[in-house]
Amino acid sequence: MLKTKLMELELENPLILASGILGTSKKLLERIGDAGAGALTTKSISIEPREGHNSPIITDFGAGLINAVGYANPGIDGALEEFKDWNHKSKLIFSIVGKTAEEFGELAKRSNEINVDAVEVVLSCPHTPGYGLMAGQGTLEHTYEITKAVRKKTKKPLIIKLSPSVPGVGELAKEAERAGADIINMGNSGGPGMSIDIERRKPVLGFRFGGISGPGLKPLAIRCVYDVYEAVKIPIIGTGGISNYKDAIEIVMAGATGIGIGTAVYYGGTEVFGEINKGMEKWLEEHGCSSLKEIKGVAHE
Amino acid sequence: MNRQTFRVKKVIEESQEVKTFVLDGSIEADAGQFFMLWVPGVNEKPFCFADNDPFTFTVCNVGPFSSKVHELKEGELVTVLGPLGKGYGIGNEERILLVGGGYGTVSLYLLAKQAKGKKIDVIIGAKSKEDVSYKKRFEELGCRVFVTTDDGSEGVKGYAVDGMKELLRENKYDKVYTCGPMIMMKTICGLAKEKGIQFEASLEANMKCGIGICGSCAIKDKIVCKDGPVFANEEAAYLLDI
Repeated sequence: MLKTKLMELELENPLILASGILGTSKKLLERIGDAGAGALTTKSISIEPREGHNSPIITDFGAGLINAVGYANPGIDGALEEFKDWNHKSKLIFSIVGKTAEEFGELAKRSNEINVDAVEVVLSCPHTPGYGLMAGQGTLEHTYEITKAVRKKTKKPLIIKLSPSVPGVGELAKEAERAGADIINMGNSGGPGMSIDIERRKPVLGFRFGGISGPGLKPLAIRCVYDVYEAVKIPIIGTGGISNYKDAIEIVMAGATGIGIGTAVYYGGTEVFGEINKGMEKWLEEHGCSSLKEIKGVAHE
Repeated sequence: MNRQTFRVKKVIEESQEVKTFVLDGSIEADAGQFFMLWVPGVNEKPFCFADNDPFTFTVCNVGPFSSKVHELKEGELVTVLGPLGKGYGIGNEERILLVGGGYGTVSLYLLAKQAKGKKIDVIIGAKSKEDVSYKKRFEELGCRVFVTTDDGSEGVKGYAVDGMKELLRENKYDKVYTCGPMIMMKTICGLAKEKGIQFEASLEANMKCGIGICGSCAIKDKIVCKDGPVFANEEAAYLLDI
């Protein structure tokens, strides 16, 4: 009932662990696969190892989280070693971040050395100098150029992850599609935003500002998925504030085929994957639907 | 969960390198749980509760962050996120043994306090005399305290596990709790397992977010800040490679 096909990527269910959440080790990803995620995204991997920002790297603002982790990761060599020999029923999505189109291309090429099921290109981080939005990667020109560079280096399903906080997400998605993307992940955390501790009179995050995620981001994510669905033919992974099965159904109605899950793990632990799957199945049965396909994009009709 | 701000009520100089900070309030916490201590503009790091009422913690000056914490004076602000994680399990054991290595001993003090009514023996393992922490405080709770030092400057010369072997000759325990360097906990839990005694260990890991999201503290498939930091029996043995 929940089987999902994102181009060549066939999943047991549409739930995909979003990049940056617990994606540090193979064993941890296997555990989340066992807990019911159809696919798992690694932490975003850069060429060189990165320490990331000083803590606090994540803070709860009441309607979600703000994070500025700063791409802490072991670098491509360390990551290939950690995630090699992937052999689990849940698919592995290898997330990459580069400072230039060449770096993205190089990372995509290196990812062919191990058994990854798809490559995700992140053009949308709101809180790391030299990367994503802070490097202007969220423009039409860069989206095309970077997507093209990665497309040349890998035959694996290629996911382009966009920011919900730039205008014209539909146009960006179209540009990625034109450059050879197979799937759009809509999208990253929003903002950036800031939390100030009123007793200390200072921004809480070590980096001062960071990406907004969780329930407070959901309406923005739903609207962005809705816009992208109108703009492109390739499938969409809808990510942003999906916390329970109702949210999941909602984002599918906006046009998502896959469903990214991140901050929900903070509220519900790794069990949240199993719960959302169960909830979606029950909802579909109660509404006389045999698959999610029947409700995909129905909000557009 | 939100950060809470307290004021430092008292600073106790335990030794040249070690200070204990007593705050002006209390916090509900189980022994073995931890909190993130935020120094604005510097960083945020995990610490264990030495006491929860009044909220008390002990910091050894080992690097740039702890040296900033050491600058805190009476009346100044302290901001924390917590309590976090899962603490020690206290059940119907009658006799328990607490084995602390270095400043790991501190987290066992709150356990001794919360496990009131049980017969409690404590082994404090330290490098030398100056590093023995909390001995008097354990004794004031009515615990029997044994000290081992690597250099023999206090108590018995040797490691904590040597002290545990000694005690096991004449005593029977229902459970062993340990907190300290990983290598020490491995020997303590290994011995407990061999003798068929229940055991719990509070693991060390590189915690950055403290709330089970960032994955930096993962050991194997466990999220130490959320699944732990205290793990019992099979899980502890698995994580400590026993």
